[in-house]
Amino acid sequence: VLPPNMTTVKTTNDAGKAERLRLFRYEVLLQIQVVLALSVALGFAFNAANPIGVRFAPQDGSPPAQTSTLQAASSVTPASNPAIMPTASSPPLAAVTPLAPNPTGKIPHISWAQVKPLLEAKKIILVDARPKVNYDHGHIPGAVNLPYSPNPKFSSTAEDFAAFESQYPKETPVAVYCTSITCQLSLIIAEKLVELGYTNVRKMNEGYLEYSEGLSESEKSSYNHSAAPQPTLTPPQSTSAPLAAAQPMLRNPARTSWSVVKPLLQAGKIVLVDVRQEPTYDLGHVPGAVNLSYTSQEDAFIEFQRKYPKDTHLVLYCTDVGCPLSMKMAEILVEKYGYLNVQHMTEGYAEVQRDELVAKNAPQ
Amino acid sequence: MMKSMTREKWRIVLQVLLGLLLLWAAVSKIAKPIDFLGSVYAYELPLPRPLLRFVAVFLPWTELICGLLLISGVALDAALLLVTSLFVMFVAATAQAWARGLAISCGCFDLEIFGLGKRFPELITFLESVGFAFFRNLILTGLAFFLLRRSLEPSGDIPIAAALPPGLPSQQPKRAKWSSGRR
Repeated sequence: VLPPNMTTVKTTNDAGKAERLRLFRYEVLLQIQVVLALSVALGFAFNAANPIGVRFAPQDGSPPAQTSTLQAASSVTPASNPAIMPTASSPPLAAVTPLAPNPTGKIPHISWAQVKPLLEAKKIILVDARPKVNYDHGHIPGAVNLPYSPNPKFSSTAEDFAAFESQYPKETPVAVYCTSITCQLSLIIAEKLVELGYTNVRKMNEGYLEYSEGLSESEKSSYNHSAAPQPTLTPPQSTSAPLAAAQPMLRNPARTSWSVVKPLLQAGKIVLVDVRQEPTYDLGHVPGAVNLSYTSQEDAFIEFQRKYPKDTHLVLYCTDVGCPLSMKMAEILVEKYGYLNVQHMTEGYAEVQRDELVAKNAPQ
Repeated sequence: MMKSMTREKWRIVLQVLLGLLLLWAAVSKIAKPIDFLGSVYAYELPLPRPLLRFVAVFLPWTELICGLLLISGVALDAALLLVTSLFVMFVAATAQAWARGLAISCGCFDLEIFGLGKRFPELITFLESVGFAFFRNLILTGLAFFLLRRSLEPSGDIPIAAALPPGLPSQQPKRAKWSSGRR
């Protein structure tokens, strides 16, 4: 009687075991999945909320103009814009054809040679996107100042734009400029004007530099200070330009200037970082400077961190005083990447070039 | 009886220690996400960087949850399975880095939090080296595997013992338990 009984018990026992094993496996697998899903969800939620988190999208905190500026600058050559009449020699004023509107919403390039006759014929409005300080110091005669700055204190307000809109109808041809080809401000303002509904906006890529380089010395002095700007919205102030002075390292990041940086660089005590984009850097940079563009992907920052420890004395520079990127980058390097000793050269590469020029002319 | 009780105590102590270690590792990584991503990149694994970013974002949280589970004793089998597989991956990563002679820091724990870095920089360099990390990970893998087996065995009539082919000695005590239960 017993042996068959035992066998049946054993088989049900085995079946039960198999069933429980299956359930156990299911349960543990489920738990593992829950743990993994929870960690992914928490990880990404935390990362998204974390200001110093890992960035997945190309750019989170950078101004929208960064990458598009370069494309605009490189893809639009002066000759490729058939809408604008080539005006190498100045034609009679009446013969100047007005600019055709650009309904595409794109912002084509226009050169100073093209702007000049239009400006004289009063068929274009020039907008200076540089800070007011620079504008007051010297601008293209007739240009209106609509500054852009990351600091809202120095940027055009909604009222400034409203005043501009009330004065100039939406189909007015507008050309925006800032300092030079590396300057990002004009695109930001040009995009803002397109956003406001202006149908005929262009950007003078080469900026104020293109204009000022074409001037003789006498013209420069007469244009810059004696000629009264005609349609300015903001009356020029007589305050002296609050140019940034070199400060002691009380703050991190702190401001500095080339005169302070130069000996330190020659002594190899600092790492000079060029925050302009790579093509600009390749065109010319301070000897010994490394390139870490403001638009760099996170990987570039990580490479940079591997090369330079956190206590490295970094000095950042950009194009000139109108370029806010060295300051922003310094903040990023301090706040996000924990660099302990970061400075930015407020007047940027322009100051270095000026210094080189002075040095070149000094012996004669 | 007494012997199994002390063994049980030791198991719990080891389990909680492993949990605390995981919490420490997780918090070090969560607090400095970019540094951690940098150390992940530094291993120069032949994996695409987007995948490594993904891993760098969620891996510390897996460690955190597993650490909490180990300390609390909830869902122990799943946590230990995960921890064991994590450590196996860490062993593989540190082993390849060590074998290739990469002079990188392992990025496992934030040793700076004790302020040791200033006083004993050489010690920190040694503790952070991948060679040391490899052996440490081997030991931790062993510990996690030991705990996993411990955790699976006492209720052995359900999981692993049942999976074994019949007639193995490990089934003996369980059968005795069954018979005593029926009595």
